[in-house]
Amino acid sequence: MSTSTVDAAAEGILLRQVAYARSGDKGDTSNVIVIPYDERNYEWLRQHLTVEFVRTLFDKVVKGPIIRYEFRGICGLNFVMQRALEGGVSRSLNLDAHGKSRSNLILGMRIKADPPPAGLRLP
Amino acid sequence: MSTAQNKSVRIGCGSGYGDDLIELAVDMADRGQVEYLCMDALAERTLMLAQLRRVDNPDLGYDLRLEEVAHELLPMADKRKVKIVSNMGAANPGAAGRYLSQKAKEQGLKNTRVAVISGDNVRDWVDANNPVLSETGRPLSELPGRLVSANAYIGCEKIVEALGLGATVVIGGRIADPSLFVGPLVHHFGWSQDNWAQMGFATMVGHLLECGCYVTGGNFADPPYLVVPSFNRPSLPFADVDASGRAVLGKLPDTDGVLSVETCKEQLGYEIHDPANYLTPDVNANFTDVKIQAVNGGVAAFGATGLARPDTLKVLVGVDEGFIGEGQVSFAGLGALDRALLAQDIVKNRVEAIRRKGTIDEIRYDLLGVNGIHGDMSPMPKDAYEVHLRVTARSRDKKIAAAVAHAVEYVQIFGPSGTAGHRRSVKPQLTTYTCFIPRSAIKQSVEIL
Repeated sequence: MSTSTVDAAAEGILLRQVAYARSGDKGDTSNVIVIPYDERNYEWLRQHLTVEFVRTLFDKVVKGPIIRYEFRGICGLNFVMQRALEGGVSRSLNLDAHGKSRSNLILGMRIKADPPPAGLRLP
Repeated sequence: MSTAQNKSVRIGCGSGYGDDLIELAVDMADRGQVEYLCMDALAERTLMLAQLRRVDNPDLGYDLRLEEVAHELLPMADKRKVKIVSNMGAANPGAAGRYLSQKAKEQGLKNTRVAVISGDNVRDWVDANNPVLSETGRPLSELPGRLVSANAYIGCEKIVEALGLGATVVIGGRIADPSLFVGPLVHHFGWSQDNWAQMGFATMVGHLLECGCYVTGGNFADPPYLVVPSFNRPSLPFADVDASGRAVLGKLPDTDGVLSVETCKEQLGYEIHDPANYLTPDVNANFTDVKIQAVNGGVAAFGATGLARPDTLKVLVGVDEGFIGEGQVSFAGLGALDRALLAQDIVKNRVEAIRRKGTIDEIRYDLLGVNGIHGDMSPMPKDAYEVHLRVTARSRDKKIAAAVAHAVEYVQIFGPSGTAGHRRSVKPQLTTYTCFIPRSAIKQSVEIL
């Protein structure tokens, strides 16, 4: 218990321990919805998974604005990123032209927060 | 046909994308006890591919699975009295409808009546009006590429009309994905198409079902965090839809995958932007307060609402932008990454020579296994046991695209040691742009064959 708290404070909590995600495309716009396993962690996510923080990860590929929308009913945070898919599915030369693996990218983010949220899933 | 305002109806998904398994649709028609089977077959990519097929042969351009649909699905749907609604007409709904109608007659399917919905093809309007494109903010005519196609996303109106006329198979082109489900629900319950709350709810049902297996365990497993016990036998989803605004999703018995609160939540947010303003041809839907709950026998979804539908419709404009040449070579064993980087340098030099012969509009170098998908966001390792160099280039000149692809392949002859396999291709590039068309400029029609 104390060991994992120390680790979490030093490295941050892996988003994948708190939430799951799915990403999709419309034209050159990518969206990634992030949903906590436990709805009680929604407020924690809202507080820490900000547009500014997500921007630090996606800044190299997202040329337009990033907007965060809230799916209140299901406790989901939806990040909508414009000019994000190198022209979109019909034009992008990227193997992942739909950006479907952007969800896996965001789940690798580490959030430094004290106290960490309750009910983390696996290390 | 009656528009019996029953309290509840079961509506099934028969296809979630353009290459979905028709056997799953047959299974749903056979065992699902559904009244309607709605089959989405189109996305931006698949519509462009269909347009390319129609360019090659004006009699084609419909879904490639139509022969299988005619021989495997139509007889089962006829037998079980399941009505089919689909956008499998793709780039050529008329030809698709004629084909299915003829096959139904040949097989003596007495209950089958095919209706074709036309009107999504708005190429003439786009040609005449030179609209401003959303992507560039400039008129279409300023693009160097040639206009190939223009299809408006159309809604449920003509599906409702066709079902009212007694059609059992309704086939169209770029009917919006959720509208394929909204149409049967509006027909069945006798709903008014300007009751925006009901249209918002019906759109939620369509949105949750339209991607097929994405709600029954596909695009979900991420072990050990998210586990799907078995993928052996897929099932498309269905929903028992209650007129009061509640739907319970389910999948077929004795199938694998998983349908859970988590899969439904993921699908609710899939490819949606602002949940309070999900614009479709039918409604401005609001999913902000949609709740997903586990219930006996499935997962319930409710709480959607909506506002008046938009006055304009989104149009997918297909523009010929030449060709994409692609070449790939693989390396394995000690020093694979260094050899792949050496190969990349060799190709870059050859590409400079190719550029002197013609224009490359865009080129991309990827080291698959290292940084081929997340690019600069990937951590760069010191070495990798296997690396796959992939080079892709877009050019209006087919010879230039082909030359880049060949330059990659040639690495196996004059390049680093141990080139472990190579492949190359040249494909036409039809790019999707978007614009908006006033509703009044669209002329939709239904034809019963």
